Amino acid sequence: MDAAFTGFLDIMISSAGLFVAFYLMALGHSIVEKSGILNLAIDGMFALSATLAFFADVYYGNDLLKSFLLSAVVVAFFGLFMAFVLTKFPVSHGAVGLSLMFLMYGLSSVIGYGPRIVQATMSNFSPGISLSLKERIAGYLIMVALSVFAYWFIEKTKIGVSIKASGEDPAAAEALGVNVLASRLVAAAVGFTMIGLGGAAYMNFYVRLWDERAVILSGYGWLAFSIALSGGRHPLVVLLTSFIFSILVHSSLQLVAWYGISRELSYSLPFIVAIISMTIYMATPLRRLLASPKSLGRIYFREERTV
Amino acid sequence: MEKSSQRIFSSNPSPKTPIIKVDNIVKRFPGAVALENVTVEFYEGTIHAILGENGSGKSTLVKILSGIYTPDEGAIYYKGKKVTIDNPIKALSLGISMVSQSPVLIERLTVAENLMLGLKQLGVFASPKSVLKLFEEIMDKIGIKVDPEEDVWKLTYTQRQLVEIARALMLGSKVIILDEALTYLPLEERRKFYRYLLEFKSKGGLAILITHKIPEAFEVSDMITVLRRGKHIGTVKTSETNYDAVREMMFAERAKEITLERLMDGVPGETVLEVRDLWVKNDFGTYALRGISLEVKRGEVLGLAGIVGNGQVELAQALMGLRSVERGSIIVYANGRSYVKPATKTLREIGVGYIPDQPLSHGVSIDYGLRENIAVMPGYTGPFIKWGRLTKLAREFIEVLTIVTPSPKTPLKYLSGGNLMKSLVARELDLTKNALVAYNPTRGLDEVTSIKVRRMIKEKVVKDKIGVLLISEDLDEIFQVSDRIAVINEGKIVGLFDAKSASREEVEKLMVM
Amino acid sequence: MVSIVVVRRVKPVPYFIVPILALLIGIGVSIVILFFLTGYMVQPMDVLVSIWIGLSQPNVIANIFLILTIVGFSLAMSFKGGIYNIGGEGQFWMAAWTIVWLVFTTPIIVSQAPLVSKLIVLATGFIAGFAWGFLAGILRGYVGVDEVPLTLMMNYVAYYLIDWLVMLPGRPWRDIYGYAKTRSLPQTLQYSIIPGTTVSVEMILVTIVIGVLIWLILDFTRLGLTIKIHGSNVNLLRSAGYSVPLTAALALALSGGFIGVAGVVYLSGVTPSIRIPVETSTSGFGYLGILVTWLSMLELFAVPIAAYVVSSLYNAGFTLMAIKGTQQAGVTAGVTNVFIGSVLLTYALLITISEYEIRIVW
Repeated sequence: MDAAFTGFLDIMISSAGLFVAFYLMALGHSIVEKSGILNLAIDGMFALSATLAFFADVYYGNDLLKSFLLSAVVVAFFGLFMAFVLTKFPVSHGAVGLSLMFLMYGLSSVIGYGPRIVQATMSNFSPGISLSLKERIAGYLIMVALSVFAYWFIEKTKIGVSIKASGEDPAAAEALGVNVLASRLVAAAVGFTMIGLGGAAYMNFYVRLWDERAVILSGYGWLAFSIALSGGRHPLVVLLTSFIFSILVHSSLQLVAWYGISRELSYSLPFIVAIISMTIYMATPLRRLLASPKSLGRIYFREERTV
Repeated sequence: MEKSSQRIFSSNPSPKTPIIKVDNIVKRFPGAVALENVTVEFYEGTIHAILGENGSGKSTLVKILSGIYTPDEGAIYYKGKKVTIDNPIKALSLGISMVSQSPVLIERLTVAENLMLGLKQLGVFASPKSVLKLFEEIMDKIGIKVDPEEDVWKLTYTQRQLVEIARALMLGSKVIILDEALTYLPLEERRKFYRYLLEFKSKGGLAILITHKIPEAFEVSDMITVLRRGKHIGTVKTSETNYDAVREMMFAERAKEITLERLMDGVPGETVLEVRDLWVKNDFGTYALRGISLEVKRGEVLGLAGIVGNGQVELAQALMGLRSVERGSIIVYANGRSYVKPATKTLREIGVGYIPDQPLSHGVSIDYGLRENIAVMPGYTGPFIKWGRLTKLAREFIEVLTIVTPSPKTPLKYLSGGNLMKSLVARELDLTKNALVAYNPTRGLDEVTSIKVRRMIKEKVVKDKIGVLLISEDLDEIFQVSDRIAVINEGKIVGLFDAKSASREEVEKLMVM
Repeated sequence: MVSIVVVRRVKPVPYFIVPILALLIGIGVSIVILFFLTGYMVQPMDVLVSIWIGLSQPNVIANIFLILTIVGFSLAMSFKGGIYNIGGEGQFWMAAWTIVWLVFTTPIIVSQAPLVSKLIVLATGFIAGFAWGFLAGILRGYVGVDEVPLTLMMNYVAYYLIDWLVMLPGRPWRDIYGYAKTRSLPQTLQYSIIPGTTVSVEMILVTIVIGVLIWLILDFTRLGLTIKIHGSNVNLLRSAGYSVPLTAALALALSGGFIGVAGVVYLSGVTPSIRIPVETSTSGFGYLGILVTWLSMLELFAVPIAAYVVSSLYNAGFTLMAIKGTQQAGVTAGVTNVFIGSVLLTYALLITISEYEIRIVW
């Protein structure tokens, strides 16, 4: 019993970096989507931000500040573009999101290649840092604090209510006096920055290596998407779902060692669980209790005529 | 009410300058010109009615004033200066706010959260609680009682409209536009708002009242502007005109065709549709219908009158098998047998027609043409579609109802609203062999088409002995078409009358109590 | 203050303008990106030449072109239904895997006459793709799970499942020499390439048949109409009495089935064995197909045209690698994604101007 407990604690500690990454991405994604912007580019953003972090690490000698900053700024830039275009023009959220996803995969391939070559010439170099036990515990605590702040921001302030209103019914919100564009840009600035930070955290605190499989083909952005969705995009609930997934992903690699499951099969587990968790959310009262914004992904266009 | 000597428009250059002037406004939509060189002047301290039938452009005009649409040509002058109102926020900054027929409040938020949204004086990080005091003051003034921490979806229609007016006040509005906001309320309810509008006017505010009902325009306005087919026909002082003159302006040569007289009587036969003790929930999980019982007979129209939001939507959906029933039963008698709680597919197959409340979103596919919209209904095609037959049928509809369209294949989105509605009605009437559930079947249609549609429905009732449940928020329509009238209020039937002997006042009273 | 106002056009713009513009601008954007991101090593000329090589030598890209055409047709069916089937990769590979598994575990298939066995294998591929699509379709239709993340994640599940199954020790489908791939399909199932080209008669036939079939289904059957109406107005479909969940599931499943056929055609006509890991060896037809379908504006007749262009773009990625060499400029196959992303993004933005007019007001 004790062994299982310490075993679990061990996993918690060693997956701290992944938890931070998942939560930052899922929370940022939730904030963006609460404003009504459907973010299908998340996996591309994950790949790009992790790659940019790697790039900065290699060329600036693991200067973490530059690493996080670069990822956050670039992703926020793309995100602000998305939010602006999707609000000002009647463009399909899904189409823009998916195309940005592909573009970002491509950019990641091109950007990551150079530093990878350079890294090979540097002896004993790994991007990021190995977190100490204290730092790992701090990571968990900081995320909890962040969740409380995010909750207050969304639910208890005028800007938060404006963001929610923009996601529920942008036309009504505008008639009520909300500057929908401004609200969505604020949500985008905050949310996409977090996504960028999350990807950088993944690179610097967890995986600490770059190759196409670990970064571009990992699909972890989609896991973050499911984490946000099944957590109802609620800052506190998403804390829980992020935790579950970080434990799951990390231990699925362990399952290989413990139970001799094939490595490939273990890779598929997080996705199967993600599909199951999305299904659970949609099929149960959760769907109504933690409902998605009514106008999420809907094209906003004011001049639609009525019969 | 305290007397305030502060005028709303304190800095108007002169009382002779109109607060708002729209000058030669032109607005086009695909398939129609909504406004053609419209010029109107609005003055402070006035209640100004804009009267016109559906499709006359009145709604478009005020949507331009409130920043939802932008004119293609022409200019807007505010206090003599030219302005561009390109979004609702700009309109709000000029002091123009609008209350429309469908409340704009966001259902999932609370009243307080909705109200705080437009208030500039609140900081970005202000909490919803900061609105409470201001709201309570205003509530006292208008005389309503609404819990500001309540979620909006729980409020009734009248309450929501009142909250919207309160909002206009809280924003310090100088121009309040009511876009058919009161048209579907009974007179008693409207009077609640009129009390307030008169006070607003006495302080110098401008109220613009949009309606297509002549009596409403005469109830409280000082000026009446009549629009017809996108053109400004004339602006008169209410005290200097009368119903007939205004009717003439609204309809010109068609005035003779338009009548609110009762259509022919039905010939009631056996029951075709029966509802017994029906309990149905709404989208939020509370009961919208609480034990409704009704009977529709063949050869008659049963009109269901009520203010929007009292369960009509849920009733229509439940009857058509589109919403689940918690308790009670629905029975359709046709083909010599009874069908209990029939599924949508069955209903369509045995010939039950449905004109839904929002035809664009529920009744037709605008990406495809008339013939596809016919083909999608059961009974018109087998697993393999023979387009020849369907195209022919579509052409028949086009002829009979004079639908203006290039071809039976033209996607419906290129048709005007009226023609779209005609396409829907044509299809449903063709499909109907036993019963028809019609919810606001003529909303948004111009008067002539509306009367034509109502006549078609009543003729089919008498000729083919179908039974029709006519759910409508337009009391004039109910009285014109129905043989019997039922009144729905908070999910219950509160009155049942013979149409010829029913008193309008009593029906209105029951709608509200 | 200047502001932007968007108004619906009274008359829409001719629809082919958008895909062409999207291609030109998208490629232009890609050139700029590649130029700057590779430290000026990839010149605009290099990119243009690579694309031109693909466009002007049809026999080089012909096999890719045919497969993309099949995938394009299949996705058109689901997209017209409003269902965004991003799971083409999973459907494609699950079909390929299924026939490999069947061929090497039961002798029945191979013992038939070549024509019969080829037909059986095509049908099996359809069923496998259909089933994988139907699984997602059920979750989408009956539970309401968003099909984009769902089908995408199922792609990953498919990849990893196949990786695992192929590498199971001691199975009849394993490559004899232990390489990370399956055994090649027997000769009777492989298509004979017309000399001087990269395609076979069978491939051409299958592509044409699928195109005609999908056209007939969409325009002349009730099923096709319900799928189209589902993509236009779900409420109308419901009030006409059809099962909306089932229609959604069928739209996904059918498109999955036809993409499965593409997977079989790939194995029989391009590469007769599955290489592991699938996620890196795949050409990404499931994703490229999305670009094809979008560029064709969901019009079936435009699908082959779009497929031709996209195959040239795909080929350009490899040509660029050959010209520039991975060592020099860091150009990998991932570059194709830059093309896809730029063109798709430009397309998504430009499509607005075909229906809406953008006015500057001051």
